[in-house]
Amino acid sequence: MARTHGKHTVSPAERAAGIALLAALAGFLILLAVLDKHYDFEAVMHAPPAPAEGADAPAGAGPAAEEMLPAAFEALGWTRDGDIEVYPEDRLFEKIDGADERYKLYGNRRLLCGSYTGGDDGRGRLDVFLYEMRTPLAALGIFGRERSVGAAVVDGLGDAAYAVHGAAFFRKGAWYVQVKGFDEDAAAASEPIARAIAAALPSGEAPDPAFALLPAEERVRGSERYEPKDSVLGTDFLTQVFSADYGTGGKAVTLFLARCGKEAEARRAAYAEYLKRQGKVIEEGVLEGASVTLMDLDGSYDGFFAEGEILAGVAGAADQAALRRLLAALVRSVRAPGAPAAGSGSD
Amino acid sequence: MRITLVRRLWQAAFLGLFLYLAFMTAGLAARLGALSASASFFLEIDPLVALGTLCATGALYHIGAFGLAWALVVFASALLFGRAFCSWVCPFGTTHHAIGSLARPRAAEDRCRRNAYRPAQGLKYVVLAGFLGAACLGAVQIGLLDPLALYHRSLTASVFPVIESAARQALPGGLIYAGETPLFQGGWLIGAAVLAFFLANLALPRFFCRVLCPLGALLGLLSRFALFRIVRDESACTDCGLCRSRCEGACDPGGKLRQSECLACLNCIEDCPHGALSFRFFPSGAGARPRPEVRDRRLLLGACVGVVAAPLVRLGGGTERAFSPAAVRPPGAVEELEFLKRCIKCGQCLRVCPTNVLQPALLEAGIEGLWTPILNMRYGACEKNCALCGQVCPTGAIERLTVAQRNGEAPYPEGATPVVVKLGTSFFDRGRCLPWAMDTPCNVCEEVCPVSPKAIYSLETALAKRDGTALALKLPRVDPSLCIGCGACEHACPVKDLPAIRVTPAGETRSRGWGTRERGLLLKG
Amino acid sequence: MEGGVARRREFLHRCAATAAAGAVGGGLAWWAYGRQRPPRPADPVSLAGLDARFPRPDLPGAPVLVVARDTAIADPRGGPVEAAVIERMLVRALEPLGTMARFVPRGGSVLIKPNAAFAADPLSGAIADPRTIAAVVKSALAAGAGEVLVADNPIAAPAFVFDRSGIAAAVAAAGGRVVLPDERGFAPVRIPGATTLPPWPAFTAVLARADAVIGIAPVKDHNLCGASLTMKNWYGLLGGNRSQFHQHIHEVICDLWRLMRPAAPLLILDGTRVLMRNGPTGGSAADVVVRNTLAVGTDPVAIDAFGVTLLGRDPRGVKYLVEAEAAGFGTLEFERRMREV
Repeated sequence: MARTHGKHTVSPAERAAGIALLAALAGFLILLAVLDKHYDFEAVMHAPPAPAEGADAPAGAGPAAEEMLPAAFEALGWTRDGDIEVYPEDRLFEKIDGADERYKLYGNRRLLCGSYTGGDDGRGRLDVFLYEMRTPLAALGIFGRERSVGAAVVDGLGDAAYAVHGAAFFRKGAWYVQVKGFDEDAAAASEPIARAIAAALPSGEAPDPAFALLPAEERVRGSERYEPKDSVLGTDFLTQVFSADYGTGGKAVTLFLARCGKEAEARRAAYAEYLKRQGKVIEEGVLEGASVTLMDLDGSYDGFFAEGEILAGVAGAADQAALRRLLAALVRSVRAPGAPAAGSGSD
Repeated sequence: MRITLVRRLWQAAFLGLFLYLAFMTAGLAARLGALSASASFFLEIDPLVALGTLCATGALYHIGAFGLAWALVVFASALLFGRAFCSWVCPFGTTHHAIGSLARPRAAEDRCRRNAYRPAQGLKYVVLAGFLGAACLGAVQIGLLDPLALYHRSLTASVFPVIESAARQALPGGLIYAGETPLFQGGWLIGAAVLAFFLANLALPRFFCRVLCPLGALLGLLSRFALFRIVRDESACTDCGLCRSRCEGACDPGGKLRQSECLACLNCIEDCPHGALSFRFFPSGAGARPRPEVRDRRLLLGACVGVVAAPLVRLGGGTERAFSPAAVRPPGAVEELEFLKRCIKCGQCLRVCPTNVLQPALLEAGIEGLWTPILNMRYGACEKNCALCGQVCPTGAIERLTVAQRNGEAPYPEGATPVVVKLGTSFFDRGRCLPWAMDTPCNVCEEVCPVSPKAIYSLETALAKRDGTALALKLPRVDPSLCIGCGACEHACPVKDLPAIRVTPAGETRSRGWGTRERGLLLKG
Repeated sequence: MEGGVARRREFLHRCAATAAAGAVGGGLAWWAYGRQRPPRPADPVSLAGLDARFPRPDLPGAPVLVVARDTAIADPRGGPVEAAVIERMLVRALEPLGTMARFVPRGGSVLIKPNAAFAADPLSGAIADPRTIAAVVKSALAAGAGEVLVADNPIAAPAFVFDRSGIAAAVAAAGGRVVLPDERGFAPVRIPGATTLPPWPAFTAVLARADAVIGIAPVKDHNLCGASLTMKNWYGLLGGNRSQFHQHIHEVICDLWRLMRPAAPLLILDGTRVLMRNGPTGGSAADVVVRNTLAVGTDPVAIDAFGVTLLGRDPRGVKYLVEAEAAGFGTLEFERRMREV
């Protein structure tokens, strides 16, 4: 052992260093024992309890299926073939294959389907799909998501409606309804049948107060959309996005706002970061009292800002003037006194 | 209090801690209320792990605080004290140190000769250059020789199993473990390698540390900046050479100190009969060789070999197009090429796995995947309600999933659509299956299938036996959309040698990234 | 004293070196620490901008489908006379649609996607006729295209396919450029409104470059989906493990159109030779019937429905066409919006 090398005398400095190093070692070991939290066993070995169901009403609380999809729309001359098919959310795919993902994303309760024949020679065919969503907001969301660009708005049908290629689509309360004709006769009948169904559906409350934060002027009727999470850009910072189209003719401009809670500023930064990869910043300044960023995305103009718990912006303006005008309107609208509390959900 | 005694206490404490943590990493032992930090602590402070994975991935892995950034502590220690880590903390170094001390010759002359500098000590810098060169091209092989990864792997796959087997023989009843001793394929090879390194100390003390260790090389390169160094008072020195008698680094403290080889063990100070040596803050650099004695050309050559080796070992395409059916990766493992950028073969996942299904690959995942974790269902099956392997992975080769995330009940990463993690898919070998080929009822696979609804189902089929009598048999099948590839069926199959149902990586979820769906099976589901 | 000065200088030098090494290491760690992301593949890109680059003028009252028939042009090894006949048919067919100029931006990049799935002889009817492809290339260049790229990701080995089929030679002679697929040219693409296809690697190297897209498909029987026509043709712009598509082939074909729809491609159906059976590969002259027909259009459902009639079958028997019509992609009642020239 070291004793055989005993000529070495321990200096005071060596002793002090030795004691300090021993103390450091002891301190380290004690710290390790105290901060001992490497495994999270509860998370690793046990699955968490299933998330609580939403507080929404149980399925089927509305009118009976037969009321909404009667055996015949006698006045119109269409009769139902076979029974009403009912698909709860977890079996939606049996009817609509992979499209069920979309419905589940928003929250669906069930789908009711009826197939009708009628028309002049009785050979016309028409399918009706009634999706009962979990909330009116969900119905609005899926309605906007499925809507074809440029489809003609139909007035006075449900809460919002459009028609395309002889088919009629509308939403009312928590219901989203598709009436799809397969031929000329059915095309003519789809809208009246849609009206008959709408009359039988219960009304729901307004989808969400957040839409009131989007300016009313210039808004394209029935263009409101809601995305629980971003499915277009594939980003993770745009969730709970409320949007609507603005302007007339040409390409629609989209105004959106996203509820971000305390992360509004962080998400604004993430969004800015994302857009900066697509285009260049024209200006970062103050507009109507909000710190806005204006961007040129290869000939399309975007602008956005964060305000309180909200990230909001304009996407796809044709020129800078339009961008500034719409962005100013959006800032005013979001900052308006008496605007509904942005952070809270619908109640 | 002599400083070398303090050093020995440090060494003992860190070796003990390492052995303790490695031992306790075994999944269920840790649950018994023992200190639950894992040996990841040692790998996280390892600057070679940090640098190697940084070269490959361009990032430092961390969950929560610091992670691989802890390596800055050892990095800073090298800037202050040179390679002190090697002789104060490194448990592998301590083991070599101890073996070398036991084999120390009696005559002072012989001792000093063994601790003379040898040109072979330059080899480790070439090794380091090679590993970093390969890492830059995405092939992280530092784990082959990184002392901490190597030691942990060896403990897991060979040392502990040997001790446990011996203890089982010696002790009555299962007092130490309630279950089987985990065994690892090719454990003998891992054991033989570490044994060879241990025995090499008899010929040359700290052979591994002086000649091979890439971590030592990295710290050696940094130690040229060290502010505390051994310094020799030339007026007091008589060139007696006794300073070498216990010199751990073979760094020539009695001549021009080779700073990159000095382990700061401080033995020379004690051994100098004239008090000519001391360890000081900022001695003059005039009397030392700050850089390692290895030609730049050799380093360049090492780096080139590494850079060439990385694509070379992949030429067969076994990690991509022609991926191996045997390389089923653990749950949470990232996509294969990313996996190979991260896995340092430390074997913590093997140690923590409660079912022993995780095994060190031999050539199943290609030569590049040597000793990376794969599932071998003959040892066990992957437990659906377990995600321990990801918890101990220090580099993120296996992501730190929770059970809920693994089973698709919670999103991962945050905000994403939850995905049930599939390791692969089970396929029947109908020619070996008892009901399918031998008219014998069985269906154990269906019984043990842990998912609900079961991924293995059977349809009762009317058949006729050899003698013509009627027979109704349940013939099992796999629903690929439900199968998670856990291998419970393969493990339980009564056809033990080559089971009649086997899991291959086809359909594994880790490869379902946008760019690489090559290993996918179903378009939907 | 001098020694003291030198020593102080050395001290400062070495401290500075150590501090610099620490700063470099710490900085590298800081940078790398912040760069950690979950090891996920890159975000899928969107090709939604494809439509905006070249807004095609509306042509009110234009047919969505024009069919031209001509004299015998059956032999794909035929000489310049037959090639000229095909070119003439193409010009005639495009006339009611507003000529090629409506589909080609002046000076822009045009992507032609022929069906070049197999290393087949054009005689087999399993791929688009090289003469038709060459005619389209010439027509696009004549209409002012800056460049014409011809690209497909064949089922068989790409370079061999383009060579063996004669497409490479024909395109080069016509002034176009064949772009062979290469994994670097593929990036994952999110398909808006897709019901079945997740974000999937597509040949973005050519898709993102093109200002306008033209699809050229032969008329083929298909073992799984009934008929392989212009809608099925887009399969060749995707990469990855496409064998999975066959699990939901009809839905995938509709999704392929959802991908291409924003580009509003010009669709060309090469019915000079029709593969009646044993598709999509063919392989026997007995499987092929000469129809001497070329159809062009903008409505994929209409043009493909017309193609199914060339196979002598009922368009409503092809499931993906029915689904495509229900999804609003076009009309199966193609006769109403067809013009013959």
